[in-house]
Amino acid sequence: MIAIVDTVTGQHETRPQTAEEAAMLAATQAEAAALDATYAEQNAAREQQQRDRQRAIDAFRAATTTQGKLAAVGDLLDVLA
Amino acid sequence: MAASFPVTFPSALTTTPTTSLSDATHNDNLHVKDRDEIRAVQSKVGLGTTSPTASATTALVGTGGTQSGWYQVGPQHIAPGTTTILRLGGTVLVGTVASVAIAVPSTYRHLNVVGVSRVNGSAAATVRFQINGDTGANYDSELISLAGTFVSSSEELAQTSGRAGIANGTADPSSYFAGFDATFYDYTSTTRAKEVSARTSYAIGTATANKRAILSATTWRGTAAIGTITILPSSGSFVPGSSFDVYGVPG
Repeated sequence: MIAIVDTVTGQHETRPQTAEEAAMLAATQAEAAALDATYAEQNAAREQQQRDRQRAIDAFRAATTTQGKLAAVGDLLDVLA
Repeated sequence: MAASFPVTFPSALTTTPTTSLSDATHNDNLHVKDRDEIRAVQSKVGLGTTSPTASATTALVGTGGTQSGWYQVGPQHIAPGTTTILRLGGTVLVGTVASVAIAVPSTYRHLNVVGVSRVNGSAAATVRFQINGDTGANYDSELISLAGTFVSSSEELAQTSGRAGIANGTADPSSYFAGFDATFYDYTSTTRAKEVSARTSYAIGTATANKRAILSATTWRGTAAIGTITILPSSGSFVPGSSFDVYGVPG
């Protein structure tokens, strides 16, 4: 169904989509859904990167030896790379 | 005493360095000068002795450092009522609907479309829009999304629809209807591409990072005046209780 709101005439209508409208909608939704999927994937990757970065920073702060600090810096550089 | 509009600082008072502030002549002199100058200013800006008139908002601008020539700017004010944002129409869905087409008049400066919606799919969907039924790759969008401490951005160029907001899905709490407010700027222009900015508030729960805020911007490459805005979800259909309203912003 498609809702039509005409604010010029004040008429409201809900009617079945035509075959052409349904095809257009399907095409638009397919593209939009692909965008959503891509964005979700990118977002998940960014969030994971931010978590990894924070974890490396925390490890650097927690390290009490030079060797530990150097190892943490190495991990941090890996995350930032 | 005649009231003349002051164009210089007040002239020296008829007082001497030894005149006491409590001296009656000194005070009278001050009061008369003050009163006359205030009256002159009131007269110049259109104030009466009782209540201010509409022209009270008129500004006075001097033409130079000497303030020798004054002219009025305005009135800058707009009469009450003409700046009211008007609800032009809208719908609250009573059935499942795949898209909502809104025809708009050409008598306003900007348009606001406000949506509150859910879809019948499990996952939340993006609420998209198309202008004048244009399904070509003429929409460029940018967005920034905030969730918890995470911030992300994305770019969508040459798409077949623009980005308006989000609609909650069935997996989200049943009382959650995501809201968006999209502004279509200068929508009657016939020479410019159309800019649309949108703000979205939605949540998928109460845990950390479940609350989301999204800002998005879309450019429609078309230059025709906007006559119809079609709202559609990226997947599924809008469910009953979803609503879409359009408001006109006068110029």
